[in-house]
Amino acid sequence: MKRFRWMVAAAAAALLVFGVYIALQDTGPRPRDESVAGPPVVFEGAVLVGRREGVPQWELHSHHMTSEDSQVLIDSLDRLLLLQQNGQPYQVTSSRGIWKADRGELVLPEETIVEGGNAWTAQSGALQWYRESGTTVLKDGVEIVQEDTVITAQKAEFDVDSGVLTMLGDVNISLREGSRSEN
Amino acid sequence: MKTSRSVFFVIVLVMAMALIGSGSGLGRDGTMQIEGIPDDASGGRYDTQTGVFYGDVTAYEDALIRVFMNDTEIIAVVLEWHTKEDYMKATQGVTVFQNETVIRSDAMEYFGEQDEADFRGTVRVELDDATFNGERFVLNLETEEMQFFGSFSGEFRE
Repeated sequence: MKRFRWMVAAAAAALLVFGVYIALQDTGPRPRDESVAGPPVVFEGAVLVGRREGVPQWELHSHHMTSEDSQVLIDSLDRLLLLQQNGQPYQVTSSRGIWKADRGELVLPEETIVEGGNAWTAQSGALQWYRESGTTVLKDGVEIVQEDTVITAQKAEFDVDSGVLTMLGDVNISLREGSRSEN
Repeated sequence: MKTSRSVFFVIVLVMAMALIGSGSGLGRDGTMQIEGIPDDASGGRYDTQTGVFYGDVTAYEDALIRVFMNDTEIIAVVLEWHTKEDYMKATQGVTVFQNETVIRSDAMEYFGEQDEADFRGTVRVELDDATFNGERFVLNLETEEMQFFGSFSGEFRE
């Protein structure tokens, strides 16, 4: 009998986590449900998926999130995957984030590192994704390193599908003599 | 006192103005600065797949692209830098300063392996004591060897 109770409790907990996941993964526009307002809800070990026109754009893994009103505070960000159309991800590391559901914006307000599959990294002071435009912006100082090339700018827009970074404002590039001629 | 005389001459192949050693073929360290771009405007883009940086500041009156490679400075309005191939292409209002020499042209290509800059279009080469105008000019940045191709008109100062 005790075992049965545990099983029921475990099933209920699993359903709750699954329900939360389903509720969070659709980040598309929807009418605000005023009845949701209330005490914050804490999620342990949840995955948040950002979609645009039904297509997954990113997948955020966290072991501690708090949902309050129209925001999800990601207190402990394990990793963020920026998804290309072909499903290949860029891995992003940072410490925390905020999902602003009403504005359709994901903000990583602290130091962020994007790692590309082609031996490059982009380090920035913050990262922001906008659902409306579908753009990912690296801001508050950006440094891109690929082999011997280092590019710095104040801000850059990252096209996840093409791997192209559009630098905004003044730009500096330095190229050290090295492996270039071997490529 | 400044006297000048104009000389028109045709160079069939190559005229070497200076021959100092041979090129190392190793390419150079370089830095590039794009200045004068408004904060939210694009001054260039970098393709992480190809390693090509493309800068274009034609839309901004006070903006410039400047590249520094050892004792050479390149100023341009549109510039493509293939970082993996050590190749560079500049167009529109190209000016290169190499020691006492100033070269102005419509377009320039730089080949890192040969350490050579190839200037085309309307080319103007300003030396200490002479200025040459023509259509194609090649400068080896390592050896400072200069090559004039085709017709060049020259003006010498004393």
